Amino acid sequence: MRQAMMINTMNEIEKLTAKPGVKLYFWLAALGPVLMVFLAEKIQTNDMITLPSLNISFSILHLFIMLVLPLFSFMAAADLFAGEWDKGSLFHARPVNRLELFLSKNTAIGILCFTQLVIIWLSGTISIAVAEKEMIWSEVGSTLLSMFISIIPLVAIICFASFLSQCFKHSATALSFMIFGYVIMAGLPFIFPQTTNLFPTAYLDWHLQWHGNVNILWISMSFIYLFSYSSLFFISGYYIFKTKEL
Amino acid sequence: MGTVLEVTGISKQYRNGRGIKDLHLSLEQGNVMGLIGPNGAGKTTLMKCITGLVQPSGGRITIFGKEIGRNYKEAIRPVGVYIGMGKMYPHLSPYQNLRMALRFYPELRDSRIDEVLEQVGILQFKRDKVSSFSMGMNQRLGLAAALLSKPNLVILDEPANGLDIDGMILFRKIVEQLSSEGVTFLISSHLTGELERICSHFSILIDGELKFTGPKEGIGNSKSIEDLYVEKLGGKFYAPSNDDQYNE
Repeated sequence: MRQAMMINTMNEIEKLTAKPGVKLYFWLAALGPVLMVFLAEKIQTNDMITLPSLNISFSILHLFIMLVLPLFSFMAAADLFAGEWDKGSLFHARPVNRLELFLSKNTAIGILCFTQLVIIWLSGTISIAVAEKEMIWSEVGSTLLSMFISIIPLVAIICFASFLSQCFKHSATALSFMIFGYVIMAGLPFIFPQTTNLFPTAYLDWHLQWHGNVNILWISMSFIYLFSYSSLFFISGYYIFKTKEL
Repeated sequence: MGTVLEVTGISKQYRNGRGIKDLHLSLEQGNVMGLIGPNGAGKTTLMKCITGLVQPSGGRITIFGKEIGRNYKEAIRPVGVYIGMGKMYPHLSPYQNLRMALRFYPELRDSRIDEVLEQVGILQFKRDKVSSFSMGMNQRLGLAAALLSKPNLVILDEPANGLDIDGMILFRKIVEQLSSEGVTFLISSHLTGELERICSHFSILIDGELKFTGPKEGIGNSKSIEDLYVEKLGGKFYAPSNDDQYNE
């Protein structure tokens, strides 16, 4: 099982990275933090405001985790599931079973998300070091920890995306519904505050809980929530995927 | 000669009532079976059932003794398949498309890609995007993909559609050469004249039922496969409906 999964994950990554849209996300991950640090520097110089560099690096990470990476996950899932189903290239008669296929598609999106997180972190850290003309190692450590931790809530978002994309036969429709779903999940707590912790989007800033006074109970509960969301979306998505026919 | 493919009582019903009913089919090593039938008769459905792309409602399919429903990965390994257009990723090159398939067969080297592309006559286009290919070139690439893993059973769904004369001759030569080496073929096509030249066996599928299956000799000396097909149709020419896209 492991070999077929690894092979198919490689294939899915190759398919995705050959798309111009995906390349654009990687460029954004590399250049976005540079631009943000440059803008922050400008604000500080002009208005005599001093922004702590740690805030800048967290803001960069936060923006990408809340906005760019979920969008990337939606686009990738819409392409790999709904888009391929539409084109008739979702299943091939190859020695790989449906579970391996489903798992490897999700893994490929996860790997590409994590790679972007690494690029964002590297780009942000280097840009700040250049701008500040020094490297603050404690800050580098904090953002590194945040980067690693952030993949966990993103996994829940990837599972949500792959589940939703099973319900559509066109990538554009799937993508629209995913964005709509995301906006609902992120926006509903503003209208109904009691729903704040109900959706996986509430945990995208989970990495912030790991700094300062760490509340182990809250972290454990959040992890259980995220694990439950991921399992629920993954199993439901796989159930639909398994019964699909070309 | 051993049995390569054994289809026993396969049925597949679609929501619109069409599909295939209680099909029995057997292929021996080296057989070249031509599968003919009107549009919507169930040829592609049968092929999809055999390759596990569609789940049959009942019956049993074994390839080299391994049941496709129970041991999919092992059963499908010696099978080369090309069913329908659009299976390739258009934003990738033929080389990239085939390399993705080749990874599942670690015993084969990358040079195998060049081999099959040369065999089907599109080696010079191996770095071009598939989206720029004509229908005929896509068909050749599909054939290359089916032959890539050096399969013992090759299943081709209308492989000659859109092929130019060169392509037809090449296709015929490939089938003749490989079948003489013991490779078994199941080919569906509407080009009965072409099938008659390359096939050793025929099956006629009408309305999801197998009306004839047997060796070429069984048709009778004075008859062509087209005559037999018309005879099996009972003189009623088939008019395809809008639902055919789900059934074929």
